Amino acid sequence: MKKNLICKSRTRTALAVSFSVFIYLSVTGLVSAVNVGISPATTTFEGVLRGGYSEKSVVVSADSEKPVLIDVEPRGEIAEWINYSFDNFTVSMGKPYSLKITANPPADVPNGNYTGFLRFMTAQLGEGVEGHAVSVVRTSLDLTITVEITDIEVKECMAYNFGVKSVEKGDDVVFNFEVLNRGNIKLKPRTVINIWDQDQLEILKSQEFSDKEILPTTRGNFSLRMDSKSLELGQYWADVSVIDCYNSQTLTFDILEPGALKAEGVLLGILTNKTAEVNTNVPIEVSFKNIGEKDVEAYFKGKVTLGDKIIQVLETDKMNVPVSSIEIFSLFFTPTEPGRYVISGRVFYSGKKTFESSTVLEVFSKRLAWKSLLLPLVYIALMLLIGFLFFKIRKEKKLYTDKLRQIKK
Amino acid sequence: MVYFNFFQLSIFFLEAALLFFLFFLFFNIISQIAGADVGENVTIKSELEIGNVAPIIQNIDIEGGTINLNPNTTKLVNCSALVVDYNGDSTIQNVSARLFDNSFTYASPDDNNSHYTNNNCSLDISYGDENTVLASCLFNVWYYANAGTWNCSVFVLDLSNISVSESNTTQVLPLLALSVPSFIDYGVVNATEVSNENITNVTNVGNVMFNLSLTGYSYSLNDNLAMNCTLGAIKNISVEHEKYNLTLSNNSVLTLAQADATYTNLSSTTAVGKFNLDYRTNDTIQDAINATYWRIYVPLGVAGSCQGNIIFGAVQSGAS
Repeated sequence: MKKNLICKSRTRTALAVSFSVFIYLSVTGLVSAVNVGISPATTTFEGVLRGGYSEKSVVVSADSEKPVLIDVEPRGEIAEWINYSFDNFTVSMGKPYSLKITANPPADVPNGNYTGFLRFMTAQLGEGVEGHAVSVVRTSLDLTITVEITDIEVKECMAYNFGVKSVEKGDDVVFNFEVLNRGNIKLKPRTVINIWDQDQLEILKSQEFSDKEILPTTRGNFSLRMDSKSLELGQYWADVSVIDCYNSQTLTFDILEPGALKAEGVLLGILTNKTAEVNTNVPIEVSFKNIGEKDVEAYFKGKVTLGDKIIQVLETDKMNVPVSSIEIFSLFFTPTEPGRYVISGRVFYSGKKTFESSTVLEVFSKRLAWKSLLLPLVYIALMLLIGFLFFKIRKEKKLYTDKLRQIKK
Repeated sequence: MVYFNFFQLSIFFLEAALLFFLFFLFFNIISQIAGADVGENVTIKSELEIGNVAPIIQNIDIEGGTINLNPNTTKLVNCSALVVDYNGDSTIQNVSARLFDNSFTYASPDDNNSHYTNNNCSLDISYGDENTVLASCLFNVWYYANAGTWNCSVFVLDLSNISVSESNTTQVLPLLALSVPSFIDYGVVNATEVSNENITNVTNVGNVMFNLSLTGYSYSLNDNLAMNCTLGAIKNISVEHEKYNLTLSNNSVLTLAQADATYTNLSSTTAVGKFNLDYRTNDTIQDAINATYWRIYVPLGVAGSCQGNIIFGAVQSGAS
């Protein structure tokens, strides 16, 4: 009896151990410890010149809390042309790695498409088991790379994020912008900066720059300095033209007295109805924000035009606009004829003016509603009826008169 | 004669009355059509109060233009919209958004592969001035969302029930990712015997179809060994003794010759097998999973614990 109990107990223990082993294997052996991915899965370096340069990036990510070591290795016929920022790195959940990949084909390679791989391989994901035959798994992901070699030079770029800051008298005015080289040749973008007076009537200063070089497919930050010694205190306008990229932008800046607070404001917009009928009063709201360092007195001055004709000049009273606040200038306009009106203007403040803003108002003739047409239609019907009766009376009268004449004869 | 005169007089009066009525009607019509312009004072209605104006969606940004998904999990994607309402930002009632694969539509049903909805985007009214709101519409986009052009359409409703909508597009980039167990355990295998079949699942945890590449080594790459062992005269197992089949299972006890006939020998050089494991399309169950079948033959002269390495590689295949 006792032997039977011991035997049953051993059987239960063996079953429990077997079940535990099964659960362990299910959890550790059949479930991956780490899942690694690359995005994108393929990449193409388009239109690369022989001996040229092109740049791309790939994001490597993992779903593991623990950092995973990734080795990088190029393969295929383009392995020697492909360079990357690091041979190995770690990734973990929420901390993907963006690897910069560059293609530098040799100068003597013929035109055509060349392919290869960049292999991303994890370190060993598991460990051996005592007394067992175990293969530890590593995972690799192959980024398929195509390099298209050409001998056609492409010069293309884009300039954006233009900016300038007001400076104290004597300091250099610094113009900032970014350039993206979209072509396949090295680029030294030619930039011309013209500084205009406040009324934008005369160019006071002009300078050309073409110093900094940008490699193909890369972007560069530009900070161009212009001497401000010849500029008096006040507001100026600057046209920054990146000639090679066909991009330009008009900016404004101030030359300030040393230690002076800067007055700066922006015309946020001119708001009005999209459409209106003739002879109705149309409200116009102009919103202005003080983004400077001191309160300003501001007023709006603008015009309403129809085609080339100025229909009305608009001007508001001066308003005090505290720092960081927005004020609304309210005006009214009564169009007397239909058409497409343009309402435009600027806000003037502290001897400065904002960029011009404009909006469009479509004015239509008063439309006759169906109800208002109903009564005239009834009147017309009555008029036709009267006309018919008149005709009949005249006709009968003539017949009667003729009959009387015959009787008289 | 008197009768004739009376008749003519009656006709005259009747005609005069009709003519009068005709003129009355004519002038009435003219005044109706010309409205106030004909012979009466005019009062123009002045509409001096600006009513509620529609909100304006100035800009929609979706993760700066490209979305890199995360393997086997979600990626939090922010489709942010800059909304301006000149009646004040507090008049914005609700901002909702839908993020969807461009080959689907705004009205398509939600699906982790193609369509996501956020009916209540969070609003940051402290952003910008008192008329500007930054709406953050967050989406947990799954790793198997279709690669390609996606559209984020934002819908803004103000308190006067005036609504506007705008959209912008972004690119969901292809994600190549696989999931495999961390090891293959053949258990205890006697010398000169072939192990039992080990089933190892390979899962696509990205959004592109892939083929599988396999390589084996013991100490270092290209060493032509499958495993090294702690005991025995030889202490290693050649790489060709480790075998796989990517499609068929055979769970019976096999001799080496039978195993050679059924399975492919592992190699120290990378061998790419046609696996074409497509990405997941079912939101409720993982359908992007394929089994692979493994065995190892243990030769004479090997004992103790044996350990080697297998590299499971993925390379994008087909158009997916």
